[in-house]
Amino acid sequence: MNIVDLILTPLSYSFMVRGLTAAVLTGIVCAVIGVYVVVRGLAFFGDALAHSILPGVAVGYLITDGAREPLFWWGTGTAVVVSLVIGAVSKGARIKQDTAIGIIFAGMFALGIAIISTVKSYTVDLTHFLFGDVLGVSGNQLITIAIFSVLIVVLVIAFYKEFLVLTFDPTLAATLRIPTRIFEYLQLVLIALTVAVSFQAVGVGLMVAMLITPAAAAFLLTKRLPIMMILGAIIASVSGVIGLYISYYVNVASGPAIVLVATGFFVMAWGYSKIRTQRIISDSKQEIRPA
Amino acid sequence: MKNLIKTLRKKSFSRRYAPHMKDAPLLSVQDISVHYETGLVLDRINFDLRRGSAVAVVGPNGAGKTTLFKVIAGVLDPGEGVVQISGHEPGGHTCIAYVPQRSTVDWTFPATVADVVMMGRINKMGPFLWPQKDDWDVVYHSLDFVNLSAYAKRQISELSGGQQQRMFMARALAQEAELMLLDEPFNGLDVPAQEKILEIMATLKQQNVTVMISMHDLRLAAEQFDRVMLLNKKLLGFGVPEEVFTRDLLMKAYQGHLHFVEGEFDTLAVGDDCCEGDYHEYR
Repeated sequence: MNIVDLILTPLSYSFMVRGLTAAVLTGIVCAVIGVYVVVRGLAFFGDALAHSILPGVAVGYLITDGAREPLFWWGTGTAVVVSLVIGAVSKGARIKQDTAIGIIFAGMFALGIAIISTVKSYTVDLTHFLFGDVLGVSGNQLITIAIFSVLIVVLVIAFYKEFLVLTFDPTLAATLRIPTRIFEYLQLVLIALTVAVSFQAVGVGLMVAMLITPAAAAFLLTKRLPIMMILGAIIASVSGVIGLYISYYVNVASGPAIVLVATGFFVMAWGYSKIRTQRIISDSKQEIRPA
Repeated sequence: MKNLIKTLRKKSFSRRYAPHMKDAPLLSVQDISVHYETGLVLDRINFDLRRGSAVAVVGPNGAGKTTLFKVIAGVLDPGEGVVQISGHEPGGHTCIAYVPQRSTVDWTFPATVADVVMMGRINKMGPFLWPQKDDWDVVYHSLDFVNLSAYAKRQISELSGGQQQRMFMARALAQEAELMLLDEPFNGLDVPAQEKILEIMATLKQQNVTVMISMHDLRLAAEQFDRVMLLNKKLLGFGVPEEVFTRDLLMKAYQGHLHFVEGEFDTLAVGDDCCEGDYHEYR
């Protein structure tokens, strides 16, 4: 079999085409939003938020008797509520922010597993929720994912400069009379929507990888935020495609395959940035060496 | 057509800002008190500032210098009292620039020097618009003013301390600020870097920009500023250095943390509160 066949054969299955589209879309959205997560140091928040949607998804799962499509809305609702609660709690509370997030994260995750465990076929469903099932995405689900992906990216572009200033220097944002509180919560809601959109593809367990790994790899390769978003999106969508092909041919689960490819990209970016820094250092050493 | 939309957006957007009353002083601080959970930080502060003045704000660590600046900038709501910028409360103004202490900034942030300066202009662009050529022109002009044009495309961590400080001054210029509040700009800078900043300040003064600078170095304050402010929760003195930096007032401000060494020609005031361990001298 030649390389063209290797690439084209899986595309004859419609589930594979839908899966690839979903993986690319969620990859782009996760990387773009993930840039804020990485730059603001919200990795733990992202991980917690992903796990916290489980009870919402589980309740939806029980009520709709195992139907997959409504789960998106249950996930979205829970994610938005939890993100706003964490945002509010971490502002006023006397306990430290990561402790507050940890408590909500673990409590919600436990609640989710408890609810799902009441169902008989619990292990199979739980595995899908935890690690995703991108190849099981239906046509309707794909449309929802596409609409929300476009919405998130459009909002990021529309409010690019407000988010930029808020992320880098909140005091400047306040002196420029940008409604900082509104944009702070909007940013949290965008992270929540991203979590809901990617739930089907990578599951709650590996979501944080899609949020931070491509964005972190891009961080090592550029010195500008918009470029970081574009590079992150490219790395994430390429990881999605390669991961799914690996999953198809090697027969490993799709979510972990995508994450592993993204991790590979991160390692390469890290190695490249190390070599580049060393080259700059040795160049500058040569410059100051007396003639 | 595109230009028309742009103008309309800009017009509707800028209408929110407070007008400047001609007769009012540029800055008027009336009876400001600020309480934190840990206690009183500012205690009934009163002063007026004319347009174009440059004031050094001096006081020990924890004297409330940053708090005062943030109240003036309208970022922090004082518990009591009123701040007016050209006759209106600071909440409506965008002509005030607060330049943060360098230690509070994330220097690994993926932004170039020009990107950071551009941030000062974002409320001049109107909603949903990305920076246009006009905006970049202002950015490069501002960078030129602080002599950093050559560094415009560098990542911000590649700058030295003095250059970082000048970058923030360029951002305040791009913001078209009429009042600049510089928080400890000289901390950790060597003398040539300090001098460059002082040069920029002199030019700003010619252009009628009002500047307040917090600092630790009493001698620098006395030598370079015609007006100084001595702060330790209360406003202990405000005026020309000779009247403010008296032994009595300095003792009040620094309490046990200032020691006077009698020399042959003048008296040396040595502080032990300061981070760099440098001495402060007064005559």
